[in-house]
Amino acid sequence: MRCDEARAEYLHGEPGDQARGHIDTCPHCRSVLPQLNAMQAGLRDPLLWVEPPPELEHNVVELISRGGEQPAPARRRWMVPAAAAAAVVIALLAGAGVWLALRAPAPDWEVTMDGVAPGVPTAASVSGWRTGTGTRLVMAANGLEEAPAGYAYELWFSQGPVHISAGTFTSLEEPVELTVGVRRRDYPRLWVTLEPIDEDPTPSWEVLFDVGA
Amino acid sequence: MDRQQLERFASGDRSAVRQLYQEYGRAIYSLAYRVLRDHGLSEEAVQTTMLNAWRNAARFDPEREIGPWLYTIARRASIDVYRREQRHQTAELIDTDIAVVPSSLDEVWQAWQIHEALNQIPEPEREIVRCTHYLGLTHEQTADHLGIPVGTVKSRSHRAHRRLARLLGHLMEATA
Repeated sequence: MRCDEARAEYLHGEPGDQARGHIDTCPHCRSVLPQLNAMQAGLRDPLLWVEPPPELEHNVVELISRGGEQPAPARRRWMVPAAAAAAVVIALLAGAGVWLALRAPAPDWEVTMDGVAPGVPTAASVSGWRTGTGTRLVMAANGLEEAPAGYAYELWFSQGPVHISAGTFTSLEEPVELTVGVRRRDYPRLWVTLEPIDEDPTPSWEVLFDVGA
Repeated sequence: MDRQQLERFASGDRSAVRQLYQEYGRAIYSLAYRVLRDHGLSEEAVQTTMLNAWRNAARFDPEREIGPWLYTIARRASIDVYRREQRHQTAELIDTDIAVVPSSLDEVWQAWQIHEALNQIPEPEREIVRCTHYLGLTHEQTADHLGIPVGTVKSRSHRAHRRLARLLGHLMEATA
């Protein structure tokens, strides 16, 4: 009996005498027995068979087709014409200041982080908007090189020994948007590290930008 | 996915996005759910994964395997969502380092490999594997369940397990 035939029967879970005899005596098959057992257990794991909802495919395709922009919330659809109408009225009445009616809301806070590593820009900026569940952030730094392969940049909020990740990114060619579930007033230190992409959830301490330490 | 398909994906071509999702959507969703144990959050992680893959596709080396690359992005996206949710739940209470992620990431990688193997067998054979291992059905019960002859179940099961054993052996050796 060939190795793949014997392994197939074993993986199925009902090996016949021939297959069992082969597995017991073949050094190649015996060497992969632990992996076969692990794979067999993996196939029985209900989490392996969790199915995504059917509409997710459509949502993903639409999201990328729109260039990654989330659809505008429903209330903003009527706010756009309303804001435009308001701008026209303002223009008619005052002849100026239309842009004020249309511009994005100002951030609740802005901070400049100092570059603290050789070869990185001297500063990076972070703007924050409070949300119902934390803070929306936009980070920018001109001239920061793309993270090396296998690494990512990570923005942290810290208060003493508590370090909370606001997310990772690999490039700042354009400003990145991140979210964090806390407020800056509670976590005054903002810093950016270069992180190897691995399972270690703690900061690498290879610090690139820092403020409020 | 070959170089041309990847380029089409990088340009946002709908059919290429759909193709990548059809190949890896289940694996990404399963990975996300294993980490997050929440369907809504898992959907979010899938969308983030696909978006990040699209944004970085132009920099991906088509000579490399796409699966491990996508796995890294999916794992990162899921862990980011997990961390964010943990913060929501504990930000007001905790006074120690809360940068903790779920355990058993080895299991996550192993499950991803199994998905990669399952991706490469035809859907009817995948269904037989699901009936056998997940539902625990015999060949006869599977035949009843799927409404097909027992002989068809046996032949598909044989082909599926032979392919899986070969594919899994290849994956296991590649990562041993």
